Amino acid sequence: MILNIAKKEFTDQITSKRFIAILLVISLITGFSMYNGTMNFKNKYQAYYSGQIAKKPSILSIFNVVSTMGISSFGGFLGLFMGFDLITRERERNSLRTLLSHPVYRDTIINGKALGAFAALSMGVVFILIISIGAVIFNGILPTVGEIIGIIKFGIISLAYIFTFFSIALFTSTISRDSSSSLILAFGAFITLTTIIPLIGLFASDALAGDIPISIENIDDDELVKYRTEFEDHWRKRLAIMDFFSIFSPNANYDRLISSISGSNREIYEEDVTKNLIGFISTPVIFLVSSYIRFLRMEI
Amino acid sequence: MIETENLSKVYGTFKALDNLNLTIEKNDVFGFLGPNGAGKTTTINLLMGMLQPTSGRIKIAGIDVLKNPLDVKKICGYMPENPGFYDNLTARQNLQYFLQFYDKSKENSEDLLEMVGLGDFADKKVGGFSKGMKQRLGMAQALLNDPEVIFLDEPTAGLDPMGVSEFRDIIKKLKEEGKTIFFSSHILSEVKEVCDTIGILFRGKLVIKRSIKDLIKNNFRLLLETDPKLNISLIKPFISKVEFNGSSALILNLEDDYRIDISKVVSKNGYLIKEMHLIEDLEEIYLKAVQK
Repeated sequence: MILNIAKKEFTDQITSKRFIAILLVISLITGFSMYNGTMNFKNKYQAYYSGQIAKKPSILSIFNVVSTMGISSFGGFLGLFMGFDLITRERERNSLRTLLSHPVYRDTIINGKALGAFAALSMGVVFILIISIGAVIFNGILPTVGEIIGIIKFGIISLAYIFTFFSIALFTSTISRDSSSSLILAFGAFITLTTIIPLIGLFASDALAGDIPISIENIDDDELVKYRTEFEDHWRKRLAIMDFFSIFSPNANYDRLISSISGSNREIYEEDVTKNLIGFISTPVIFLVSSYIRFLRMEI
Repeated sequence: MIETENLSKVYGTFKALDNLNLTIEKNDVFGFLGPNGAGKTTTINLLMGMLQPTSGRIKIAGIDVLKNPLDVKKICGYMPENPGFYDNLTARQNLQYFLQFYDKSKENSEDLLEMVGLGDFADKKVGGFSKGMKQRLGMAQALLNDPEVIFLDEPTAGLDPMGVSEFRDIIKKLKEEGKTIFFSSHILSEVKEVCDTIGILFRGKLVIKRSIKDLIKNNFRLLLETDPKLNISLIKPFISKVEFNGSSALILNLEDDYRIDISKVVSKNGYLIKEMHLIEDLEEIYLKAVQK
């Protein structure tokens, strides 16, 4: 029974104009970022073989560009647009009442809808990955086995990221009276999680980490060591506070996880991304469970 | 077939349904009347297990609705007021989607579309349907599982006169098949036409539940026109009240169906009966009930 609902939801999603339009935008951005990323990768590769740089470049650095430019922003929109009217639309056109008059449990309905949307998103991510890999191979770059595994990880994390915003929109759809209110709430949540929370983290780090140690000219070596220690402590403190807030931000977690796969930003952040992984997984779980409970108790 | 015991539904301080005790026999066509906001749709939603009651019990065909809502839905059909469908699907696809929740063949949906007069529109998208067409499709989806009990919420709203007539035929056919039908309506003539029993709900309370025959039996109003004008004293033992005394026509309130006795007296006294018929006025009963 759940598969019947999932099948319909999947078909509805992949044939909807907004899904196709946003996927097209993401694909175009992906294509553009792949082109730039590939050119950059080739230059780095040549530099590596000519001995100008010591570290061999990884294909995954190209995907890091793709995630930052396309999926991090437009992927979130795709998730929101797929979910914001999932329940409200059914209520508005009264089809939910008709559906519930047949022998089907409410949890089957919401699970089926989530499963169908997840399948549609998976298809979208696979489509983006195919474009990306195709562009890499077209440019004569063959990924190693390790890099292929990394690309698969990139796909899974990107899928989970977009699904996070779908789960947020699904939740707003279960608590709103109509689709327009749900869309406003979903966008509110999007802005809060992607912009306001990292900004609060930034302000909190400013406020809590104290003043930046100031160096005095003509200091001796001991004082210089002391200054450096204080400076590093200060930044470590700031980053720790910002890191704490970033756990609540899906896009910050996504960026950190993608960076950990591609190996970029290691010099800035600590390598351990466990906290981010927990935050990244728990956000959709919290919203899905909340949607589920709300939908089961909803008066139609 | 349908039994409720002290069924109540309260929203905050508002009692949408107040201690409803109702029994509807198998193969009965029950008309549920009441003004807007009386609690008719709430009652149907409770009976279908789509709402949780605040208190009380419901049994349909011996199945406890609160404990086994899915089992109840398997034997019930429900046509909501303004039935909603998936606009991007055709009429046939909509029915086939709902049909997947039952172990029924797809041919059933084809027959139903023909029965409700949508045979020629089976492959048209529902988004382009008129309200009346959606009502017809609503009726078809309510019958998908060949239900024992059918709940119809304002089923003829939006139907043209031909649609209303076809709907009455469908109800009669379903009754012949042994179904129990529960439907709410504002159209009293329609209720009188197809129902065996009526219930009048007012402010969440069931104020009347009687068979149509019983209701009319105790409310005989007779239009009598004679030539020359009848001397009322001749038939005084049969009448409780004279409602209208025109040039030659009278409207009389009787306590029973005394038409034969009256016609005998009138003829015996040399009067000619120009017209004599019972006025079965359900509207009056309804208005009395809701204006208490």
